[in-house]
Amino acid sequence: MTFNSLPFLIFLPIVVITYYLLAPRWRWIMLLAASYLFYMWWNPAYIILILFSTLINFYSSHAIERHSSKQQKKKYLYLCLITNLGILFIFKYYGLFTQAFMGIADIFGVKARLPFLNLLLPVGISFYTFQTLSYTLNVYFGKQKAEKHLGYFALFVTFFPQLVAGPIERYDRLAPQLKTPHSPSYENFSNGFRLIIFGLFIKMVIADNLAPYVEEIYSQPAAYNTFHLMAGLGFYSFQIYADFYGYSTIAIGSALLIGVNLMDNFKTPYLSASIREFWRRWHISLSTWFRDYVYIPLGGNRVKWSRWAVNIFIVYTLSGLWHGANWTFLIWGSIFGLMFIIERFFYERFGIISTEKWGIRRIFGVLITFVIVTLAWIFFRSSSLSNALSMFEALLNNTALADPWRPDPFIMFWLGLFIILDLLLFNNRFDQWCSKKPLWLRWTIYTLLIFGITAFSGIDNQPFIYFQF
Amino acid sequence: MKPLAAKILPRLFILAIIAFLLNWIYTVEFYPRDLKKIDLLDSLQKVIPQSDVIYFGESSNFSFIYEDYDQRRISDFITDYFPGLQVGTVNKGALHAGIYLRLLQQIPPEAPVKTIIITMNLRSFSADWIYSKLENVLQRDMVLISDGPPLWNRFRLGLKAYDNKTSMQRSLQVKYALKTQALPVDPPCNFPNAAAWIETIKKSPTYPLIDDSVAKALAVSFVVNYGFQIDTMDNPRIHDFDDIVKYAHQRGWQVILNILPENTKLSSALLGPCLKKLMMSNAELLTKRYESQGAIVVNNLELVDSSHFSDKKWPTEHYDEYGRKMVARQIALSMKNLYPNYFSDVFMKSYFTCDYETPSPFFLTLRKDSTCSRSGKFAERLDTNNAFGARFVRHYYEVKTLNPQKITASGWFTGNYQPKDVKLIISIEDDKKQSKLWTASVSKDMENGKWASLQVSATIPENFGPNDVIKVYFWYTGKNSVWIDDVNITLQTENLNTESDTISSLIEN
Repeated sequence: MTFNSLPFLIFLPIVVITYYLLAPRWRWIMLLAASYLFYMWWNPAYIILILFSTLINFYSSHAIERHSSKQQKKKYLYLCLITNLGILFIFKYYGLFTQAFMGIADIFGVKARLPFLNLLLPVGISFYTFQTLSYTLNVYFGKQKAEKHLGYFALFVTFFPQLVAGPIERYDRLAPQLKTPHSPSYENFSNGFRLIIFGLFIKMVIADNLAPYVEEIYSQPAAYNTFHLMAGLGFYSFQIYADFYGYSTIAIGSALLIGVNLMDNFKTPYLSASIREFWRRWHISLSTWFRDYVYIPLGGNRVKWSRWAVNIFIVYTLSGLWHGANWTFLIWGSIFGLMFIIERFFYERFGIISTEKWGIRRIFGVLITFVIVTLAWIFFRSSSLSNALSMFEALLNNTALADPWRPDPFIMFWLGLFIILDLLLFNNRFDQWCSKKPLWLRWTIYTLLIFGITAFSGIDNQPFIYFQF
Repeated sequence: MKPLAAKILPRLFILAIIAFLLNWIYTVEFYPRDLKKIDLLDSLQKVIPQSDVIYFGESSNFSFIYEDYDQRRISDFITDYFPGLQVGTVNKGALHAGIYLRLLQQIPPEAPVKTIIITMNLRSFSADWIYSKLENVLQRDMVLISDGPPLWNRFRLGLKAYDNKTSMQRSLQVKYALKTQALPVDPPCNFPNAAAWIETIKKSPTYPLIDDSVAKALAVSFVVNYGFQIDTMDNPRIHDFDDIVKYAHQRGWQVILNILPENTKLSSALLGPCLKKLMMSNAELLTKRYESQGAIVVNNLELVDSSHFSDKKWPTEHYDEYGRKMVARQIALSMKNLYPNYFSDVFMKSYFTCDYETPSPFFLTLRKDSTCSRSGKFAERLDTNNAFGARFVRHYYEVKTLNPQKITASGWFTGNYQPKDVKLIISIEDDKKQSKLWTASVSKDMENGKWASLQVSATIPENFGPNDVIKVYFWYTGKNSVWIDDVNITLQTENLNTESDTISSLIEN
C-alpha cells in the first residue's frame, strides 16, 4: 500500500479510530496487524522476510544480553549480522556481485558463471534491516536492554508509517512511544493533517508532475540542448526531494495521528551551504545511522587527517551502496565523500564559505552546493554509467541544439509555490510553521494544497523512488 | 472526546465547503482542459458533432505495413462506400467493449449519430486481453468521465484509484484463468484447459505440427489468445457487449458488431483443427447471441487469408491493405440496407476524379496547394522535391467484378516547364514489380503558363491477374514548379478501339 493511494486514505482513518477505541493493552496487536496488512498489500509473500528478520534479531539480542562472555556475545552478534546482511545481499546485491565477479574472472581469462537469481527486491528491505540492526548493535554495545515482548519488538520493526521508506528509527525513541497509551489530541490531529496534506502535495503535485519531464530528458539526452538539460537536471533535484520528503512527511503525519513522533528526515536540504550541511539536512535518519554505526566505530574525527579522510570516504561510499546495487550509486556516494574532504580542507580552512549566517557568502555556498548535488544526482538517476556519461556529454556538447521542450505553466506555478514554501520553512517543520500563522493564511494554504492535490496531481504511475531501496 | 469533536467537526464542515467550491472552479476552468489531454476522449469529442456513423476500433483498424499502397484505416474504407455519409472513427490500441461502452455513454442526445460499428475482437474475450497490462492506461483514461464530481474523479486519477495493477498481478490473473477456464473435451481435442494445452505444446517433440524455430512460441501464443470457450455468465466482455447493445437500443442507434478475421489457417497448420473449432464456435455463439438481441453481426472470422496478416510471429488482427479493405467491404455491405440512398459499391465504381477540393479518397499521397488552381481553390504543386502527383491505385480484386477492358486518364497542368518534363502515366504492375507503361507527354508547341491537359488511355491486358495493380500518376522531372488539377480516370467495360494504346493530346484551355 502506498501513501498516495485510495486504500491508504481509507486504511489510515480506520486504524486511527480503532486505535483510540481500543483499550491500550490491545492496541499493539491492532497496529501490528495493520502494519502487516500494509506491507502485504504490496506482496504477501515477502512478509516472511520481515518475520524472519524480526525473530532473528529478537532472539539474538536476548542471547547477547544473556551471555556474559564477550566471545559468546560476539557469536550471536555475528549470527545476527550475517543473517540480516545476508538476506540484504541476496535480494539486493547478488546481481552486482555476480556481474563484478564474472567481470574480474574474464580479465583473468577464467570463464566463471554464477547462477542468475531472478528475485524481486522486497520493498523497504534496506530500511527495516538497518532499523533492526541498530537495535541489536545497541544491545551488543550495552546501550539498550533487549525487548522482552516479541509483539512490541515486531511492531518496532514493522510500524507501518515508516516501514518501507523510513525514517529509520532507533529503538529507544520509537518503542517507548509505541507502548505509551496515547489519548486523542487535537494538536496531534491538526499537525498530522497538515503534514499529510503537505506531504501529499509535494509527492503528488511536485514529484509526480516533474517525473515525466525528467524521464524524457534522461531517456534521450542527446535530443535536448544544454539549457533544457540543465533545467531537466534541476527538475530531478526537486523531483527526488519532493518524492522522498513527501513520503517522510506523510509518514511523520500519519504516526502523529496516533501520538507517535517520528524523527525529522529532511530540513530544507537545498538551503545547505556545504556538502556537510547538506547531509545534516538530507535523509537525516540514514546519515545519523552511518555516523553512529560506521563513522564513529571507525574512529570518527578523533584520528589522523588521512585516516579521517578514509573514514569519510568509506562512509559515503557505503551510503551510496546502501541505495542500490549499481556502480552508479557507488560513484554517487564517492562523489559526496570526495567533496566532503575537499570542502573541509580547501573551503573551510581558507574561510571561503561561511555556513553560519545568511549573507552573500552563504548564498554563494548554497548555489555551489546545489549545483554539486544536482550534478551528482546524474549518477543516482542514470541506470548505468554509460547513461550518466551520455548525459554529461550532451550537457557539454548540445549548446546549439533546438528542441520543443515546454513544461506546463501550471506545473511551474506549483513548483514555484513549493520553492517559496521551502524557503519559508528553513529550519522549521511545516506543521509547526503553519501553526504560528494567522487563521486566514493557514486556511488559504490548506485550500491551495488541497486544490493542488485534487486537481493537479501527476497522472502517470510514479512509485516512491526510495521504495526501491 | 466531546471537546475534541467540537473542534474537529466545524473544521470538517469548512473543508466540505472548500471541496464543493474547488469542485466548481475545477469543473468550469480546468476539467475541459484535462479532457482534451486524453486523446481518446478528445477524438470522440471531435467526431461526435459531425458523424452519422461512428466506428469504434482498436489496432486492427490501422495499417502496420509500409508497403501498403493505401495506408488508410478500415473505417476510412467504409466511408468510400457511402459518399455523403459522415463516418467518424474512434480508435486506440487495446481498446475493448468495456471502454467502448463508456465512450458511447459520452455521446449527447443531440448528436447526429444513428449507427455505431463496434469491433468485436475474439481475442478481447481471452484472459490475456482482459487482464492485459495495457488495461491500466485504458482505465486511467476513463476515470475523468466516470460518475461523480469531476474534482473527485481528477483526485482519483492522481491517486491511481482505478483498475491499476502491477504487471506481476496481471500475469498471475492470466495464469489462473488459463488453468481454471474449462475447455470442451471433444476428441481429438482432449485438453481440459489452456494451461494443459500449453504444457503439451511445450513438452511434445511433434506438436505443434510445423517444425521451425518460432512455431512453439507461436502455437503457445495462439492457445493463450484463443484457447477459451466464452462463458456467457462470467466473461466480462459478454456483459460489456450486452450493455452496448442494450444501450444502443435505448438511444435508437443501429449496432453493427464486426467479428474480426483471425488467422485460422495458421492456427490449423500449427495446432490441427482444435483451436479453429473453438474460435468458430465462439464466433457462432457471439453471432447468435447478438443477432437475437437485434444487432447486425458481421462474422468475418475466416474472411482474410493467412498471407494478409502482417504479424507472422504472433497472432494479431493486423491486416494488410487487402485485409482491411475486405473487412470494410463486409461492413459496408451489411450497412447497405440502412443507407440505400448513400451506398455506392466501390468495386463497381468506374469513374474517379480528383479536383483537390472535395475528398478524393482513391487518390493517394495527395498534397494540396493554394498557389494556383484550375477549378476551386486548390491544385497540387510538383517540383524537384515532389516529382509525383497524387497516385491513383486500383488492385485486381477491386476491379475484377467490374471487369474493365480499358482505362482512360486525363488531367490539367500549368507552370513554367520543358515539354519533356511533364508526363501523365498509366502503369500496370505485376507482383514482381514489372510494369507496363502508357505515357502522355507534352507536345513542343504548348504555351507555358496556361492550363493545358494531358490524356492517356490503355487497354488492360488479358492476363491482368490477382496480384496486378493499375496505377495512374503525373510525373514531373523539371526544376521549376508546375501545378496539376482536375485529374479524371475512367474504367471502361466495353471493348473500345484499341488500335492506339498511347494517345497524347494537348488541349488549349
